[in-house]
Amino acid sequence: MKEYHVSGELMKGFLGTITYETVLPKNINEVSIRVSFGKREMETCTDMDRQLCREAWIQNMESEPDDSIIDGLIRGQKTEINVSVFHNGAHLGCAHRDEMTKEIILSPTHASPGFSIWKPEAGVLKVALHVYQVLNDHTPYEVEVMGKELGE
Amino acid sequence: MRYQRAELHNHSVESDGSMTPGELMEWAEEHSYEVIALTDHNTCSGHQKARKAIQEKNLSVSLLEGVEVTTFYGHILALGMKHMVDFSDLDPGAPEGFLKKLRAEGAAAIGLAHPFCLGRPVAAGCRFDMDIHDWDAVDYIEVFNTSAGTGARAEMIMGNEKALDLWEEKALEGHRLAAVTGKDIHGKPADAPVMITYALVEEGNGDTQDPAQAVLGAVLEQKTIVTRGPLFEAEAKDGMLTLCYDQSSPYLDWNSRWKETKPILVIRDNQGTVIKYPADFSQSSQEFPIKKEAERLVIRMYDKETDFADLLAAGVIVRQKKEQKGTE
Repeated sequence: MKEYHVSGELMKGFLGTITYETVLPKNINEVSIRVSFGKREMETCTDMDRQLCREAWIQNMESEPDDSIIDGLIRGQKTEINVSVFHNGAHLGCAHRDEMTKEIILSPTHASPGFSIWKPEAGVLKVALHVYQVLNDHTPYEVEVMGKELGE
Repeated sequence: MRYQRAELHNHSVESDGSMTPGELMEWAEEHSYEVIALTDHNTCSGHQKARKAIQEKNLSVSLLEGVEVTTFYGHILALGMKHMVDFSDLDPGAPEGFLKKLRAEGAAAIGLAHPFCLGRPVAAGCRFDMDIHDWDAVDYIEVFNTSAGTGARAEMIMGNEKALDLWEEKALEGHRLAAVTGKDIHGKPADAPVMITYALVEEGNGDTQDPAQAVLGAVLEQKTIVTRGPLFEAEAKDGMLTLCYDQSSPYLDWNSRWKETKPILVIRDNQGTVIKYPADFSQSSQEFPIKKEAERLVIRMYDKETDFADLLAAGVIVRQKKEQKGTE
């Protein structure tokens, strides 16, 4: 079993894609990927957070939101990180769902939702973390990539 | 020509929906949709599963394969797309290059999903925050996203009135954009009196015409209508707009309910003129005078009042034909 494990922290407000590339050896029969992150809900709400919600609300609703509306808008937000996987540049799939831990299996006989079945080959595997929103400083995340060798 | 009911924005368990692709196909058939698009977030993995379900369950609904390319700066619907791409290199200040990438992967029709919905930080990445410089790179706008339900508040949250205004502005400028709706299905939607999409397609090509391809063609030709029931074809020529009505849709019992309505037609042309007329649905067609100089017209049909909440149908663009004069 080959393993690759990285971890990191994201600061509040980060927006973008973080990619990890690893070379798959020839004799891999199944690839499993696990991406997890913490601090889903906002832990510290600042005046700026409330102001940004107020502005977004006014832009659409053309009326001032009261505190209960802003509270609801704050509660409805979440840290969101989704995961795409590529092999030699080809898209294998995407785990786009509201889960703090995304477990992805790729094999010739089974694929997790969002992915198609795939026979692992040698080449470059890219795991892309699409970070849509981070609500807290020091938001931890981890990426594990594991390859099951033939015969295991 | 005939009207084909289509639902063009839907999700399954392959992304963040709760129905399997097969269940979604069954739902579409049960609700009389002839064409349904599967547009999961950033993946095409459900397409084959949907096709298999249609075959195994012997469904007559036609699948339109697509993706909702879910970026940080807005969501792009790519109908016909069969392989997802990496969107990390998307430049929101100039997205046209990225849209070309979608076309290279099979996207026949590219649309903007819920362009004016509540934005960041409330709905991160959902509002369209890209700068389109070339509107010919886009094929349609989702002018009604009905996922928030009905009522003035729901419409404002999704920004539907602004989306319709944008479509009308661009269509009157001459850009070939269609107007469509999207339920943006994530779970089985409640039955609600929301706008849906009909595509105007060629009648009776029988087995040779794939309904999904016919709807794609209608989108590319701006032959769609968004409606709560009334359907009409429009033609403009030499200062006269002719509407041919079709009240046969069973959607929301329109085929009997139309008799209770007091329709008001509102026509806007590319010169900024707005004209209102009372319409008469008991007739099969009606003629309405328009400015001879107008090149393009957009049409809205209301019931009793001309508030947005009273809208019955919209999204129709007409190009005025002028009589060819013989040379002397």
